[in-house]
Amino acid sequence: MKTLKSIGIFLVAFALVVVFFEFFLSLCGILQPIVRIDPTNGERYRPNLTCSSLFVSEGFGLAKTNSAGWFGHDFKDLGTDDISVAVVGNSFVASRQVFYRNNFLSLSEKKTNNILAYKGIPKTVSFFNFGKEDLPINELLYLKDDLNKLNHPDYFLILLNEGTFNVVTHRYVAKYVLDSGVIKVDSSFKKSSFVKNYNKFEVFTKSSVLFLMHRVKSHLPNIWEIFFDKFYIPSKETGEDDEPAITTSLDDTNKRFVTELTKDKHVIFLLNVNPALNKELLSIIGQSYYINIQPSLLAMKKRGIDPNYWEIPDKVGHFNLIGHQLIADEITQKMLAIVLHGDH
Amino acid sequence: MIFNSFIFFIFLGIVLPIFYLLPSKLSKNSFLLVISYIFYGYWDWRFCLLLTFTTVIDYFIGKQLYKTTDEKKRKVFLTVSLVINLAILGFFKYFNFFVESFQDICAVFGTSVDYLHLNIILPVGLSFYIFHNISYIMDIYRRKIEPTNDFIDFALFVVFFPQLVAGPIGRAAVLLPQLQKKLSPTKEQIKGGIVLIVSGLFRKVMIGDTSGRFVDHIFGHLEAYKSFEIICGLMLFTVQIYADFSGYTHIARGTAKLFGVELMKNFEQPYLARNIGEFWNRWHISLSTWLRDYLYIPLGGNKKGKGRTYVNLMITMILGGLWHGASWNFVVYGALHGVYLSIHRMFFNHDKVKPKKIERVTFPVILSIIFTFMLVTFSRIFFRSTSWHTTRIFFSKIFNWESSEYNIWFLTTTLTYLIIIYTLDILEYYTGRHTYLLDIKSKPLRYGLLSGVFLLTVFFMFQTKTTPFLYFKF
Repeated sequence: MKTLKSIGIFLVAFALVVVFFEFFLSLCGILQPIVRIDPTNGERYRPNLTCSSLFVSEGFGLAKTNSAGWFGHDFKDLGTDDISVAVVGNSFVASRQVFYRNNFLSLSEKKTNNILAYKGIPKTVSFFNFGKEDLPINELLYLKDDLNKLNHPDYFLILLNEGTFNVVTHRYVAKYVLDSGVIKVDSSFKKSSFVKNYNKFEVFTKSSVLFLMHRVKSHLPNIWEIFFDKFYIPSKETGEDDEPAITTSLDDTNKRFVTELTKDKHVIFLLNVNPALNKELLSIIGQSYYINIQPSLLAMKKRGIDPNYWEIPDKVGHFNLIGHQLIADEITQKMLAIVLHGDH
Repeated sequence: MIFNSFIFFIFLGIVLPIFYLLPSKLSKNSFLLVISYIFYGYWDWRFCLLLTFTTVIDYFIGKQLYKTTDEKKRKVFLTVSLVINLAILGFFKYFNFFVESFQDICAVFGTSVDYLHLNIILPVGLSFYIFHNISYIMDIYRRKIEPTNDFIDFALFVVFFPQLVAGPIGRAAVLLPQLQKKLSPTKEQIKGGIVLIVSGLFRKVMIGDTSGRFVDHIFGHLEAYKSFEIICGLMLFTVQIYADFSGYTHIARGTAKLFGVELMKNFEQPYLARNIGEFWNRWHISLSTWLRDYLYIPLGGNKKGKGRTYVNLMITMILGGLWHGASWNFVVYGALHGVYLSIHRMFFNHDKVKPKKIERVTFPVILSIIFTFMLVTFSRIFFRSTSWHTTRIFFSKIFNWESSEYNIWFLTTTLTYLIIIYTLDILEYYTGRHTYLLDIKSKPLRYGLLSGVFLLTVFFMFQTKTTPFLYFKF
């Protein structure tokens, strides 16, 4: 009996610490599970949340999600005088590494509208962020079609970078698949037992401590490196020092999805890919509208300013503040051309 | 090797059982000496050469200084030791700073001096062990202590790994007698050591490192942040530096206890200080008492009139500021504290400087604590800014006020950190010890709390990059 009482007190004390950590981690925005699994669409950001993102190898970002679970303001069609642009892409669009006000969408919107107002043109341009981590082309196309049904934006600005053509597996999300040359919707994630259980215990999915456990689990493959530090010798078989291969050409599936995107005349491509892939993409895009940001980014890099370099952790990653400003300038020019001259 | 890394705990897990099994004082001290060098050499084995050089020099000078009765010779020995120690410190830490400052002055007068910049690597903990050695020599010179004739004991006094890289700056009078006996930790020391290590790890990893990540980004790109965000960044830095350094000291003291060694306390709830004098009696105690004993008092202290006292305070604090790093920002930081202390001495009863327990928490007491905290926080601008440029941006951002859309978020985060750090300090203050968890009578409750904090902190460490302690670079 005494032993049971002792175990009980021990567990209560332990639980008290867990509760304390829960409040501490979430209140201070140190670790927050910002993604949830939506029963219809799969993985999405949690709606109406101030998300802080503290990256060890990049920046510190703060952004609020809207009622639909996307960063920035809710989609609104402001009528004929307003041009709505839905920006779709992976983490480079979500831009969690900087404060929302400093990302290229906010900057482009501000710059474009300031110039329009200065020129006395009664039009405004609104950008809506539909960026999401690891968004491969098949998920991107599905998301774009879904948004088109729901919101009817005037334009889609779609970011294509090398990451768009990476294969992403184990995602609980609705997407397109190519089945015998036919593009079909794949919502099989809904049948997964994990998703069913996830929605039953949704309250726990908001827990920062459980999220911490999840992150610990994802770091387990590196356990020996973490434990043994300088004494750790990576095994040759695992090829841990190998750089990930850069996509320089597209397979038929990816080509098909890109071709599908070009069928929508409201799509403007935002290209940030290596020259070889760029050439291939341009041959598919053909007469579609595009903004190629790669030359400006490379020129900046040649001048000694790396738009992907983060000084504080001394690492290369997503766009830094200067990178966002540069892309904002490019997008502003294009949007002004569209508004002023109807030129794409 | 840093305390908040897994390799350190593996190291501790290997060396502790061996240490406990060793039979004699000689074997224990020799073993501790070897593992201290391994611990230090883990950064860069070349650092050990400099450490050995200063150890050997000061060991022999210490002996000669004590033997000689001729005052002239004693002064020569003292001077030789001071010159060697300060020259090493000056070269590794301040060479480029003084050369660049000289070049800047020449540029003001229109003279260009050829650019001279050496790529000098600052050995970890240099300022700490140099001050450690100076105190040993000075105490022998003042005949406060006798030198040890056992080289191993002396070498261990210098390199004892828990305190080697960031203090506390130990005194020979306290540490040497412990090392001259066979080290065997008591049960109480082991319990206290474990509590200190767990609480130190929590302070460092959960409070210091997490707040530090916000601070680093804010101070790294001040131009991207709004006024209120920057102010919160400064407050968070005030939390970070304390959590980081006190966390380190807790782990250092806890580790030393596991080997049966008692190190001095370096912090006594500094942010509960009611005036700036009291703050310096509670903050980085080993440095402030070192500066008092080996700089302020030799300069004349407060015995040569009011004016001279203020001058002595200013010199002590400016040099204390410069001890932190080779930058004019640290000079301003030290000067600002010199001004604070002088004003405090000018207008208030000096007796108030001495720490007294807060008997009753009244409104004036709370106000004085907040005011002192604000003064310290303001001085941290110069401590954290890496250059004049950053300092200028900081002030221009404050004077050209911009509101932020994230005010609530920043306020909540900053307040949460402040509440946590103050709660820990209040617990220490009223229990009178850093190991207050041992006061909990129920063992299961105590172990539940300890293991919870330890496990979750370790989990957090596991999924993030190890961050070095701030004071390692000093």
